[in-house]
Amino acid sequence: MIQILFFAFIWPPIKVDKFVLDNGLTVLVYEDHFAPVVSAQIHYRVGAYNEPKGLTGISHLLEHMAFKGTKKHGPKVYDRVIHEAGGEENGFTSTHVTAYFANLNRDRYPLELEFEADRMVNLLLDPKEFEPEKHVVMEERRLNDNDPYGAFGEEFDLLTYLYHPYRNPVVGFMSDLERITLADVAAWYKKHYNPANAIVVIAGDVKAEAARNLVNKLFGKLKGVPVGDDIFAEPPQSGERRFEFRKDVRMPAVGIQYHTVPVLAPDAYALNLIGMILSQGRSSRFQREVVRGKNLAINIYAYSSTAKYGGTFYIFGMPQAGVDVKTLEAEIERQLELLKTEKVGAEELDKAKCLVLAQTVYRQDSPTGIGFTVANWEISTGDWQNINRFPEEIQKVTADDIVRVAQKYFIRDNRTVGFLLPSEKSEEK
Amino acid sequence: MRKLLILFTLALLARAVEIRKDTLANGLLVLSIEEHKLPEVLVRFMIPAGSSFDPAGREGLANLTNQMLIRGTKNYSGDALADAIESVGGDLSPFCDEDNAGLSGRVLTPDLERLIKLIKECLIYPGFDSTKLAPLKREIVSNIKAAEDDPYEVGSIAFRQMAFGADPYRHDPSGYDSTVNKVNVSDVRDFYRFLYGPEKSFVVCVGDFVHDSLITMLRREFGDWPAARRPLPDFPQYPLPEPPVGRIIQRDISQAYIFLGYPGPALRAADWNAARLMNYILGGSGLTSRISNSIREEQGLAYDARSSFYRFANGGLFIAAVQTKKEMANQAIQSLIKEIGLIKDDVTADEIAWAKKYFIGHFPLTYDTYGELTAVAAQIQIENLGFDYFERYENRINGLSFDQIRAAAQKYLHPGSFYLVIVGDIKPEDIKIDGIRWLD
Repeated sequence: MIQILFFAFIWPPIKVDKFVLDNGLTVLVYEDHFAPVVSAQIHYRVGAYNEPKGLTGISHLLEHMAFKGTKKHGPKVYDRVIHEAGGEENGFTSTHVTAYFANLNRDRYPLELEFEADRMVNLLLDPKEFEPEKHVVMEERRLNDNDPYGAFGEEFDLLTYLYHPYRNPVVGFMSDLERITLADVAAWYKKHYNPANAIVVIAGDVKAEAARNLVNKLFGKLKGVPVGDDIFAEPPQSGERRFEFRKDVRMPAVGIQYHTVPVLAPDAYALNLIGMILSQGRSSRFQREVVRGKNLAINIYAYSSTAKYGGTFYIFGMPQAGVDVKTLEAEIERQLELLKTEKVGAEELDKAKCLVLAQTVYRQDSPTGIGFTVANWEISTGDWQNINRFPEEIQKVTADDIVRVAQKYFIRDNRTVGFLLPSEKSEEK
Repeated sequence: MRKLLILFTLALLARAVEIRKDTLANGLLVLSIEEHKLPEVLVRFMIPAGSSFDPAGREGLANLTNQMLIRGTKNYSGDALADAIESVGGDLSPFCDEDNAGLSGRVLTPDLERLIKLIKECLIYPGFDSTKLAPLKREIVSNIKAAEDDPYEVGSIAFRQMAFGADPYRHDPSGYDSTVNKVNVSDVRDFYRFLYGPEKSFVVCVGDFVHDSLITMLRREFGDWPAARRPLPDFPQYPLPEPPVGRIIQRDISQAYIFLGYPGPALRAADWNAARLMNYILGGSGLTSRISNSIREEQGLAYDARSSFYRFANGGLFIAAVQTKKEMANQAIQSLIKEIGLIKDDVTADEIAWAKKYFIGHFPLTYDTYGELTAVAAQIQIENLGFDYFERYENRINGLSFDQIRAAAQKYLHPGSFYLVIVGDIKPEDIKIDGIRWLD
């Protein structure tokens, strides 16, 4: 055991070359020469967090419009050219990020960066393309509504955050999607897409020096204007919130969500380990005791999410057929109480740490994944290198820390409890 | 555009990968790829013991047997097994699809022997304790019920039942709640005895090991794995429906989940490359496909619209799928039928040339991680692609003729005889298809 921890711990940290152009563009280069492929990515520091009431979903809608052509290349060119070059391309939007990427043969990745430099300033935003694309996004909104668990999770954030923009769903509210105009999207684009608000990541079979020259050539002349986030604070929660959420389902579910801390906060590491102890792997407490031991749940997991401006600890469980959601809720509460009253044994704590540390090795299998991860650390903490401090901090967590942190956050007044239940219509069937 | 084109003249970089092939005396085939980028090893045991071997009335037995492997062995309880692998940061998971079942694991380099020994415990000395079977059955039955709340799952399962019509592929590997409930420990023991053995199984190992030591270790641990007594199931022919047959599954949701298709080619079909290249153009290339271009880009009807082949050892399915708001269901279905009909008679040389460039250029991206190498090695064995697969790939794709691709379209596309499943708040009269026969 000690040997393994040691082994994972001496495994070299992730190495990234970082440089910042004069216009403020941050560039992260991660070299991995295993396969002759490169993931070229651009991450803008804008997402659902930045969206005011009435404009929720606008970052994601803009991401869709970014695939509808530029003044230079016209609609439908981008995907076609990337495919013709053998690439796989996509975009995604999250709470703090709108990202675009393509994975290509190593000699072809400049193609993606060339397109991204163009898309940063030259989007066509054609009215003819806007209405059909808005309908596509509305269908995506409906897909979320029809996925009972996705919709349940969205409801959770609405009740956990009454004021803070972490309540915003990335895909947006339907009435906002109906309201948003092309002029709104154009203004959003103008404000948020520029070199000073972006991070370019190049991960794979490249040399940092060559990548640097290329980025300079493609992006160096564009003008950078720093944007920055407005900061909001959720008023402290003072009392448990409970809700019922009804859908056309046969199997109910229960969720419990606590407010915790942002990324890099000292307690973030113990919270992460509590998540591992409760639900990572077949030997976790939830799997061993709640699923196999007592037969109370099918799916059950606990997850600590520590973001740029705040965090939550979320537990979700689906009772086995014939088990009441309230019974499962009581068992989850019992599991959390145990963490507060009984110290985690040395072996169990070591196992949780080991699982975290082994992940740091496993995830290096994918340069694309490392690219996303370092960009995420750069955006949420201001410095990608925090990724390498993470294993050290995890190592330092003690059994006393686990008890202290459980006692501090897992309290009734700090939580929201929700039940996903069959609608009256589906109960009649 | 001119500047972009220069980039295409550069040479391709398909990397040859050496897959070493060893066979143990009892027939167990070992495929190994030694790589030292990361201090980890991936191991996957593949045993032809998937759900297509389920006996009638015991659908779900293959999956149950597979999951019971890690719920206790002669020397380890289920909890002890989980602790043994996870205490070193490793993972060991069972899997079961239509054709194969097995175990896959991942560990840091120093723990390879531990992983191999634990897999041996599970595969050669399973406990099959009856007190562990009842809770597992409850879990699986609960999962089957939970799948009924996901409209996509509901539609997929209903579609395969209709399109295959008969087993062994009619049922999902999970089985039905009624048949899972009937399984007892002697069913599990029999299934294991008949199907779990080395002679038709293989193991893939990828990562940080030394080949000779790996083979020595596998010989030592798996050399005495006894042969299975293997019965073969009967595989029926899966016919096309004439006229079209439809089924609507009512759900109180805002969209219609649409599945349209019929039986398609099996694994190892000689014209598979032609078929998949044709489907790439039709509905397999994301936003650039004909189906997506019509339904998503031009009509704004759906977030996702695509067509796919699902292939098994002795059968397969072709499915075109789309989710759209319920008022537009008929329009989306008409568009799917139209696109399937159009390409059948009119695939163009330009589209083929473009698709070939993608297939060849994209190839190096399909095996650029340990995880993908493990999957590709298994695929090479299952599909009999040959161990010179990496070297020959480009020529195989370039060698496809216009006529071969057109022939695949003619053979595998049937715009007039299909099965249709719709999940949503839809009535048969909403859908305008001549002569369609609706099932309850």
